[in-house]
Amino acid sequence: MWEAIIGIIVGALWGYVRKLDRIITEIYNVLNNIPTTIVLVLLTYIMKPSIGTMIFAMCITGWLGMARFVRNQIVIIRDREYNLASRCLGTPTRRIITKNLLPYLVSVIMLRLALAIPSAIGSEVFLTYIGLGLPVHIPSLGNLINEGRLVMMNSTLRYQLIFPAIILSLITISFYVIGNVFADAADPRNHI
Amino acid sequence: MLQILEITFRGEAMEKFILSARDLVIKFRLRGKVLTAIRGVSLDIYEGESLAIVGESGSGKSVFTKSFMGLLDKNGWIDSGSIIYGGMDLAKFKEERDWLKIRGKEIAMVFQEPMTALNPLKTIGKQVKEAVELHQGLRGKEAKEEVIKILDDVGIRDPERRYNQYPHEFSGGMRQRVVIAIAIACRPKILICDEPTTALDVTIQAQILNLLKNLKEKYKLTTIYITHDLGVVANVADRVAVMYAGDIIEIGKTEEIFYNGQHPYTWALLSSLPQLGKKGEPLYTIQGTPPNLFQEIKGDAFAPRNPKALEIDFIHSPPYFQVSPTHKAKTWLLDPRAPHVEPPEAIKKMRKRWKEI
Amino acid sequence: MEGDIMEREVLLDVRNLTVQFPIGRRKKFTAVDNVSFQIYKGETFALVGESGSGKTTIGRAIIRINEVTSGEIYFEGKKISGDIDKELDREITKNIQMIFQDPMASLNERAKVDYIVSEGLYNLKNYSSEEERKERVANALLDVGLLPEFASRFPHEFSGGQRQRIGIARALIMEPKFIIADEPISALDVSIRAQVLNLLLELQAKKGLTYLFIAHDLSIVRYIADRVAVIHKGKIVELAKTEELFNNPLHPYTKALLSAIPYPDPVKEKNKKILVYEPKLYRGGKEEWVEVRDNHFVLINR
Repeated sequence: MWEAIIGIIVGALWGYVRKLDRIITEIYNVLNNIPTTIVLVLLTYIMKPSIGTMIFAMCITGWLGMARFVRNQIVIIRDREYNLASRCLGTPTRRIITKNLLPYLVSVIMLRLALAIPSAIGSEVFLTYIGLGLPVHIPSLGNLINEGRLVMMNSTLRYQLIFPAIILSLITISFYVIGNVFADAADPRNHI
Repeated sequence: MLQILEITFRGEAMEKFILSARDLVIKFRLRGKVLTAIRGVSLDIYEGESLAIVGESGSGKSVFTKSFMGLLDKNGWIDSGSIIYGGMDLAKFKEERDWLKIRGKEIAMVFQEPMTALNPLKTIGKQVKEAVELHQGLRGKEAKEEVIKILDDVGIRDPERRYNQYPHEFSGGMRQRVVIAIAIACRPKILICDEPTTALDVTIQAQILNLLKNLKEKYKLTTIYITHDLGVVANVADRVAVMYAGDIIEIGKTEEIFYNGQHPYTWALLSSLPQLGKKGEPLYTIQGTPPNLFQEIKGDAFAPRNPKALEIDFIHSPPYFQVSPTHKAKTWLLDPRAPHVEPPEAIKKMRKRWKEI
Repeated sequence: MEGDIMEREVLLDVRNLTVQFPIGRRKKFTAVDNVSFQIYKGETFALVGESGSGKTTIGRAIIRINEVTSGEIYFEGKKISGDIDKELDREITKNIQMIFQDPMASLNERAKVDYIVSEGLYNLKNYSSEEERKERVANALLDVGLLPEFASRFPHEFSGGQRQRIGIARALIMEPKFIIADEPISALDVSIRAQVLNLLLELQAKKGLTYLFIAHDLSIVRYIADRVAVIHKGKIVELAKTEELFNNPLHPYTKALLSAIPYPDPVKEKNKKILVYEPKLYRGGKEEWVEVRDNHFVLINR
């Protein structure tokens, strides 16, 4: 969640204020090249495995993607006429971002967020699966799958792996649907 | 009961009809309700003529011609009526493969936006070549030579080099020429141009219109122009059909419509043009909005917006009244029993010119 | 308005304006090339050119959306191009406003009409109370022929012509002296154009406005403008009073433009000859801006 907020703010400024654009693009290119997975793994290894660590690690790596996404969207609508009109009327940059740009972006950001949650779960599953995330005594999908791994060898018990997999898929789909619903609701054009 | 004074129009023996639409009714399903976009329109198109269909947006002009090619949106259908072409009734076509016989080969269309009509990922040479191969049956080297010839015909200089270029390397006017080339490559009999120059600059527009006129001569085409720009109409058309709310309310030779228009809507369209306005005086405007096509329309569709409407306009829909063998209009003002109504200033001026001709 | 131009007050003075845009890292594109003209108080000045000619860029440079590469712009005698102080910026926001071309893109879809029209007021904060603000919004809407209750609705509930009127109301509420209208009717349906043109003229008479009318359609310009400047590839090639320009065009580009306009008169149209402007024929020599007749200027190559 935090990653989203930081990402949005940075992305918006990045997309809108032309001067910042070039500098931040350079920074982004550097940061993006650091493989997310490795950072995640490293961080959780260094700090004690726990829920707090997970969250912290994912935040650090996640905000970048959101920032870039928001920035791309903003570059598209920055020069639309209604934004120019606001500038003519003297609206300060801060308000243009909050009143003109972000409301337009709410739908797309919602969608993005909706998918971010399942992907966070996915990362969690991954980390826990390789043993680096949450410790074994805390129940989580990752641990379930991990346990399932041992079972996978034994053909009769293989079915146990299906359940966490199904649950993961269901969660992803439902978040996607919820995200879509929010996105549609946020667009006043759909209010008839 | 009123006696209807309609004289059935018989075409001159010399010229043949190439396409004939009779009592065409086209409906759309929108948000659960049914909208009647075309309300029983009949139109005969002569071979080799240049016909313009004018009207504001919502008049149905695009829908009408799209039905000739089976290009109606999924939620639209031909409710009744017929479209006779080459001995077939196009209104009865149900399958895509029936339409494939017609589209391109017999009837081709040029759209308004050249940018979206072309595939940005293929060279323009390839796109024209596809049309040539499909419709003229040529292949390989022969096809390419034909493409070069066509590109030259549409006025693209240095066609051998431009053959390998992509759409984004062309200007708007050039792209429109390519779109026209693709349409011509099919060797159609009828070319429908839907606002072909609206998106272009004035000087380019003049060139494209000239090009279309030349191509019409060279390839013996019948052209149908759909436009809202009366200046374009005056330039290219032999005949003009004025559409309003899904019906053709007046049709005739271009000079007849401009200088001797009879329907109040035609008057309104002409009078509101800034080109005909007098400086210092406000322009003539048409009050109100086009009627709701979800409901059945009683009487003359234009009556609510017509400041000079007669009582009968609200009750009975007028039939066509013949003004000349080539000119007819659907307005009660032409009934011999109608009171005399003064047309607006701009129309009176036009009438003076009519007398000179 | 006829009358001796020399005695009228100059409202806007553009001197040697050049606007360039960088393409890539090294190259620059010159959109506006050394353009100079003046606009007098109360007149309608038309700037006509085809797409890419630079006319929109000039409008945007005046209202400070685009940056000026070189040259100056003066409004009521004060320099408004380049860096200016906050006070002057506020004054410009109040006195110079713009109407945009596309009614579908020029309104904030997610804001109510009330906010859209009051946006400028919120920025300048030159109203004393909420009631006053509401009243001013209502008056602005009435001025453009819309009902005050429309303020609580969203833009998508309106037609193109109505949306354009909302855009005009948004500009008018600031009580400007000068309005830049950037192709205000080209995106409208033909039957609506006359209404909006009438509205603009009516407002000009009522409120004593001065217009810079940017257009590509010369036929509209003839009806509405007092003076016309023709712009081609960033340079103004001819400038004259409207009738003078139409009756005696001097520059070959102007002649080509005039010959290409479709006129709704079949006999004229079918017999007309289109002139083509070949810039190559006129190259070489020094370019000079010369007054050929009374207030009729042309760009020539000596």
